[in-house]
Amino acid sequence: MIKMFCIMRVSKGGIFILLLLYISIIILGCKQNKNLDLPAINTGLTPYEIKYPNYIPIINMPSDNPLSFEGVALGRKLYYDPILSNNGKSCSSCHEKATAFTTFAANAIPHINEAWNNVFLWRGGIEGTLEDAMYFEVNEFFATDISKLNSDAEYKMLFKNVYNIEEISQTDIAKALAQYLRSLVSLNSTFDQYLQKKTMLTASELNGLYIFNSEKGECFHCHSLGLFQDNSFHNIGIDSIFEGVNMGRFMVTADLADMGKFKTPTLRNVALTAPYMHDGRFQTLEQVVEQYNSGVKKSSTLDPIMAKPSFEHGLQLTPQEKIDLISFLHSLTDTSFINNANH
Amino acid sequence: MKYILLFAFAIITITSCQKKTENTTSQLRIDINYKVDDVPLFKDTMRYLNNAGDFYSVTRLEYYISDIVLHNANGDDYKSEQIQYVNAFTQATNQLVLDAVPNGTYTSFSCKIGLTAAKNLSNTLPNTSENVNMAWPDMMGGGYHFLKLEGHIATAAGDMGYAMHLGTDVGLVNCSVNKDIVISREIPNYLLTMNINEWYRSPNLYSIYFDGNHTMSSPALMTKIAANGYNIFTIE
Repeated sequence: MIKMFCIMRVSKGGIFILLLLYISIIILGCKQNKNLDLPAINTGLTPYEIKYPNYIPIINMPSDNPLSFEGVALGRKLYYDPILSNNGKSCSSCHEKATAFTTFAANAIPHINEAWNNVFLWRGGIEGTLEDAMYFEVNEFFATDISKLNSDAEYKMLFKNVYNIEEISQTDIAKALAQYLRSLVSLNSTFDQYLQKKTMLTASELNGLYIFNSEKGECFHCHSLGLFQDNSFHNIGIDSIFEGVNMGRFMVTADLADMGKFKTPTLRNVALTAPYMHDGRFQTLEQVVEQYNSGVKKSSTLDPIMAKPSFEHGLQLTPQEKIDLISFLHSLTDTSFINNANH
Repeated sequence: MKYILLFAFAIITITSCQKKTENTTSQLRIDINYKVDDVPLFKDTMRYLNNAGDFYSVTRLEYYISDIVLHNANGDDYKSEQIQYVNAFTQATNQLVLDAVPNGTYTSFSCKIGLTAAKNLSNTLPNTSENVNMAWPDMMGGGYHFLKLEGHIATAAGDMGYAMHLGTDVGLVNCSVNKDIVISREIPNYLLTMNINEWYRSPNLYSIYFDGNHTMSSPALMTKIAANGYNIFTIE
C-alpha cells in the first residue's frame, strides 16, 4: 500500500513537471525570434554620423554601406588619387575643394550634399543611390583598371579593413567613394546660422530672401529652402529650340515632355560654383539673375511655375532687387565647408 | 485524472499559438486613383477638357490627406489622425491604410486635403524630402502646400503653364462622399477616385485661362478652387 502510494506520488509529481515543461516549450516556441534583426557582425569600425537640422530632409542611408571614419578616409584617398583613371586625372581634377568641389573649366556638378540625391548628373542619367552613381564613375567615366589597386598593398590593407575583402572590385571602390561624398556636407552657411538664430542677415540679404522665398521671385519652388534643390527636372526657359546637349532629360527618357529639362542644381555655395547652367553659358550670378529677370524663353515644356501672368516679361526686378537677390545667394556660401581639412 | 490532464494538454496545444484576433475591428485599405471624368489620368501625355473649356495636361499632382472620418448613423464616427503625403504619380503613396476600424456600416466618408491651422506649422511634419519640398514660405503664411496641381493648357498663342497651389486657411479643402461603407474582415479594400475636372466644375466654374493660372498669391482664387474640392472624390 505504501509502495503504491509512493508510485502514485512520484507519477503525479512527474506529470506536473512534464506539464510545466510542456507549457514552457509552448510559450517559448510561440515567441518571435527578435535576435534575427540584430546586425550579424560588429565590424569594429568607428561610426561616422551626419548631423543636420530639421529643415533638411532625412538621409536614406544604404544598410550595406554604413558610414565609418575609416570608410570616409578610404573614399577621400581614392577621390584625390589618379589611380582611378587612365589619364592621370582624379575626381578632384574636376571637383576642387576651393570652388565647392567643381571647377570653372569642367563645369562639373559640385559635390555638395550628395548624400540627399537620388538622381545624378544634369540629365539624371543615373538614378538610385550614391553607390550607383559612383559605380558609373568608376566603371564608365574612369574605366578604372582595378588591377592597379589590387597590386597596391596599402589599398589592399585599407579595403580589407573597411570591407573585409581580399580582392578589390569596382563595386567596392564605388562604395568607398560614396562614403566620402556623403561626408561632404555643407550646412553651415550664413543663412543656416540665420535660421538657427545665431546671426542676422543684412537688410539686402533679407530683401533677397524675400524675393527668393515668395511669389516675387518664385525661386523656392524648385530650390526648396534646405537643400536648395528638389531632386527633380525643370525647363527654366534658357532655350526655346532644343538641339544637342540642350535637349536635357529627353536624352535619357526619349519623352518629349522632358525636352529641355535639367536637374535642379543646389544653390548652396553657388557664389563659388561658376559657370552656371548645364553648359556653363553664364559666367556670373548677375547674368543668371538677368536671365530670369528678362530672358525666359517660352516653349511647350517650360515649367508651369515660370508661366505666371506676372512673369510675362520676366521677374521685372529693379537693379536694387537684383543686387539683393545676389546678396542672399552669397549668404549660402559655407566657408567652413571649403576650409574643412577633412575634406 | 489522466483524462483531465490529456484534455488540458489538448486545450493548451490548440489555443497557445493562435493569434489573438479582435473580431470587432478591421484594417481598412483605401487605394487612390485618378481620372478626368471618365478618362484615366496620365501624366503630361494627354489633353483633357474641363467644363470651362480649358484643354489641359497634368504634370504634377501632390497633396496631403488628413482628418479622415468614417461617419456612422448612430454617431460612432471613426476618426484617423493620419496625415498622408500623396503624389498621384508615385504609386507607393496612393494607398491609405487605416488600422483598427470598428466593423459596421458607415454612411459617409470625409477628409481634408491639406492641414488644419493647428497642424499647419512650418517644419513640424517629419522632414522627408517630400515634406520639405511641400513647404509654404513663412513670409506667405508658413506651413505646407496642401495641393500642387500643375500642367499646361492650350492657348491660341501656344501652351501655357498653370499651377493650382493651395495652402493657408483659405486653401483647406473639405471633402465628403456619401456612400455606405461596410467595414468587416471580408471587405477590407475600397477605391477612392479623384476626378480632376471637379476642381474646375462646381460650385465655382473655374477657367484656368480666364480666372487665373496661378493661385498661390491669390486668396480669392484659392478659395474658389478649395470650395470645388468638396466633391472631388468618389468611393467604390
